[in-house]
Amino acid sequence: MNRVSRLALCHYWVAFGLFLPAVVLGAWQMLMRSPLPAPLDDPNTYYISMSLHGTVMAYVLTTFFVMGFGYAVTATSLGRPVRGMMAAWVGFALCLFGTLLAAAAILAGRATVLYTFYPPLLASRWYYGGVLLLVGGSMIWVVLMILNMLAWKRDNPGAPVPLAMFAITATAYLWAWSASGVAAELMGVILPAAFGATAQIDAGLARTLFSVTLHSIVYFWLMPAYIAFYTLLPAAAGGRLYSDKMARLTFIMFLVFSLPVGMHHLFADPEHGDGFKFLQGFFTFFVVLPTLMTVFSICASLEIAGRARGGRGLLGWIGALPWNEPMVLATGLSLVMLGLGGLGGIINMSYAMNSMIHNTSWVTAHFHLIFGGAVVIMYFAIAYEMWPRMTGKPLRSKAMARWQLWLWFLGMLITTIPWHIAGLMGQPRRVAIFDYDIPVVARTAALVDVSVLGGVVLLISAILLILVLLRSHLGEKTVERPLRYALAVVAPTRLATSLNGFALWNAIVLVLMLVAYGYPIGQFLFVLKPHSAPAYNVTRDGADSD
Amino acid sequence: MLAMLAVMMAVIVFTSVAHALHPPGNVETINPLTLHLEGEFMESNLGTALEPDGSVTVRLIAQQYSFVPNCLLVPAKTPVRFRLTSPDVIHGFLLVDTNVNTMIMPGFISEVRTSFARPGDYFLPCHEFCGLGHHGMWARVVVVPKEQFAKLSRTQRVGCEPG
Amino acid sequence: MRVKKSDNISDRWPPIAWMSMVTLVAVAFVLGFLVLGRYRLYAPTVNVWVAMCRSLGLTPDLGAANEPQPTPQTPTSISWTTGTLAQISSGDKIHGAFIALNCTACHGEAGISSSDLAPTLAGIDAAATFKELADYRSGKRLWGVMNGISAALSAQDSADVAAYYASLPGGLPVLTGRSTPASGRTLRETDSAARLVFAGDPARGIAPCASCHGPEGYKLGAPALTSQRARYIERQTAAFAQGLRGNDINMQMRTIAKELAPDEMRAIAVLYGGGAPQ
Repeated sequence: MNRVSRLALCHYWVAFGLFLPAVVLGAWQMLMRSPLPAPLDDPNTYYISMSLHGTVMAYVLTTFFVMGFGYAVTATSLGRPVRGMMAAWVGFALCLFGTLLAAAAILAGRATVLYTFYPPLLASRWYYGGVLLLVGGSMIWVVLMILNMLAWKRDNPGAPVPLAMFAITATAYLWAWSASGVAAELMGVILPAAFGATAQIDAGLARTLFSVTLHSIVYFWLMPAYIAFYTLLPAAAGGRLYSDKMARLTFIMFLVFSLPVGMHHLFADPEHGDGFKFLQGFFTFFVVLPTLMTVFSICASLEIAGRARGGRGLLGWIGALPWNEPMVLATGLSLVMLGLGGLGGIINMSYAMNSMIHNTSWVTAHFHLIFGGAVVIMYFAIAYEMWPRMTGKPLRSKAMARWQLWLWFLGMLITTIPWHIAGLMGQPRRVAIFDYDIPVVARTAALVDVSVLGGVVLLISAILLILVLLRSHLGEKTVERPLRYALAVVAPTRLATSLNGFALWNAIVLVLMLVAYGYPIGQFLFVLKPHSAPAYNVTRDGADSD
Repeated sequence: MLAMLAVMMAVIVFTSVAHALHPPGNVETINPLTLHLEGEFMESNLGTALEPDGSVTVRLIAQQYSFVPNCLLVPAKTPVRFRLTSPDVIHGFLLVDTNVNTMIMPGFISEVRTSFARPGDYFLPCHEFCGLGHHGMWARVVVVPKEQFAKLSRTQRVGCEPG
Repeated sequence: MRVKKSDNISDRWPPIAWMSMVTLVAVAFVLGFLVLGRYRLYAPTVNVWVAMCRSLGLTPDLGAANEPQPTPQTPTSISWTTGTLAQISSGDKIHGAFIALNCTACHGEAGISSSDLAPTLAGIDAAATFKELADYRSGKRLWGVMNGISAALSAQDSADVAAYYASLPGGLPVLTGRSTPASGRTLRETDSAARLVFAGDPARGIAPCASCHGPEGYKLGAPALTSQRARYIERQTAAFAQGLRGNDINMQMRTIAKELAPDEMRAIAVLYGGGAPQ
């Protein structure tokens, strides 16, 4: 475990080390766009900050965290060393190098295209190269997860793959499918223009390819949190997992339904007819199912734990749960944010209802609540759970960790609830300066001020997180307690092949992707008349392009 | 759980049929570089036009960093068809306090249809990041009572300014 | 726990999964293309076949493009096609220097003008020069002397002289679009000129001048204004506002200039022209 611990810890330190500066940027951004005075108040700086904040939070924090978590899960759930450690370190190095390259390009002001980098806006090739290296390096992780699971199955024929490993491998497959969109966009549309091989960009094709990634990536981010719900939480609460089979089905459904749904991000776009918009919106309804199943089975697992601890009555078991455990506390807070954020998401995907809120602050508030809130709080809980196991040093202190989690929860609600309302009032996205004299903007002023306060609370929470992790890391080594995964109420002894592997589900994904995206992407190549636009480099050096 | 989702889907299907509620669905391409030289979006053709059936068509260009025309005049209680395009990068189009909300892509024409129940001023920000001047891209739609909207000939185009 | 391979339990999932998938696809397809596609706002309900074509995006509202138009008005004959950009970047500075011997009388020896009537050209972006010469040549921009002069220049000559002026130092800065963090560039700025240049005025739909004209912004065809002659800037802005000049593509300058008050035009011009000899 020691070699894997070092590998996982390196990933976590990169993830959380870049997380704190990104939170600082986020808090500054909230201040900048508010009626209140801010330092360095310059719209160009705001857009650079947004590009950096978005790139770090959406691509770097997440990818590194999931990779580190994956290696740790592989070693602990399979009970043997991870195969391919050398490749794993190469992947880490590639990802780190790509991250630094992209960050340098943004800081140099040459990549102010925000993390969704919608062409024809074109940034420096170093930015895209960096992102491609980050995505490419993570593919090594994908292969290692799959190979490790297959090797274990070969060595244990007929045995059920441990749930945590099954789930992280589902995550790996999901990420491979998901990243194909942004990889195709980068390699097929953007980089040729960034290198000057072509001066034209098909904005519609680029946006559509990116939409393949844009929704499924959030499930890549979310799966570790759900893995914690299913495999770590029940044990931390002192109970058992309600149903192993239901858990496997949940992860399978995420793999299948998170991919052919990206067009719900394109509802307002003119490059697609509403037939496929509806089709992908319809499919999106089914990706709600695994979350609903999770809420059910996690509450059931918690009830088992609560009653085992002596809780009585219809709701009395809730009070009996060990809320002083960071993992249990984080889950409770996460489920609240999941409920609120999930309801917002259902509105976003409801076909014509999307027109109320598309590209308003509602969208920004939504993904901060659901991802920054429900998912990232579980990242913290996983970190608190994993750090002592990997370093052999206990958490110092659990009380500070609880404070940190509560502050993150409250800060996120204070930030995003007024933000949602401002979005309903028509506040546009991605704006550096608002003129608070315009009547429709003036009515959002108080809401924005409240969000600034929320941002400060989040910043304090982020600082506390780093403090807890640092203090633990620098503390005394004690006896190591191995990671205990939750046992299911009914432990699986034999499983149907389809619940123990992914061949069937990958085949279904392939067919669904062809159905959902075949024509929408194909039309750019075969149906629509020429419609490319010239690339707009965000910077220009001398008379020649970058 | 499936029942809950089925109810939501039923609402969507019902409103799509009964009220024709859809997101934009018109797929039309155009050359972004020659908007000013030929075709529907030449500067002389921008603004509000009156159709023979009494509805109006509003043509507008979104570019770095303004909407042209930056003030539009439409009559209330009339079907309005907005036709929008961009010569450069992706922009957004949002009429605050309405459901008129679409993206404007270079190479494509966006079309949204609506009707304004009440006269008033509607603010129109760009809501997709389009470059360093994005936050300055605001325009207005002025809705006047139907009786006050002039009877235009087929080749007349109006904005907010007189004449 | 070791289990014999023959003990594998039957796997019911493949048929369930495929049947569900087919059902979902069929329902989604029928609903989206054949049912919902028939109804559009302010359009008659159509039959299933037309609905499907429309939902695929195959039958756009082409009637609108073909409606009668007022007399066409074009601002310029230039558009930024690959061919035009290639011609501009193929300009020969040396030949351009030779042509520019005729320009020094008004535009200055080193391209730095000492007259309010002629702009400083040293360092100006080649695309901007090329376009203005083309507009003078075609009569889309009117200024007697320049119309006559450009009539004598071919398009290649224009590219050459544009390349020459773009290479001259000491005048207008080269716009790169790269920015460095600064303070005081928002609507809180009390100096109205600085506010308009760096923050714009969203209420009037005015983007910061700097986002196209620099510093720290650039747009193809928009000339840098820092160190330009202040009175020249002021006159051109007023010309756009009053409709005396209309060669800006898609009315981008006319739309903004008409929102500016005369004293704002002057203040912006003075802010930009600050460094140049007046």
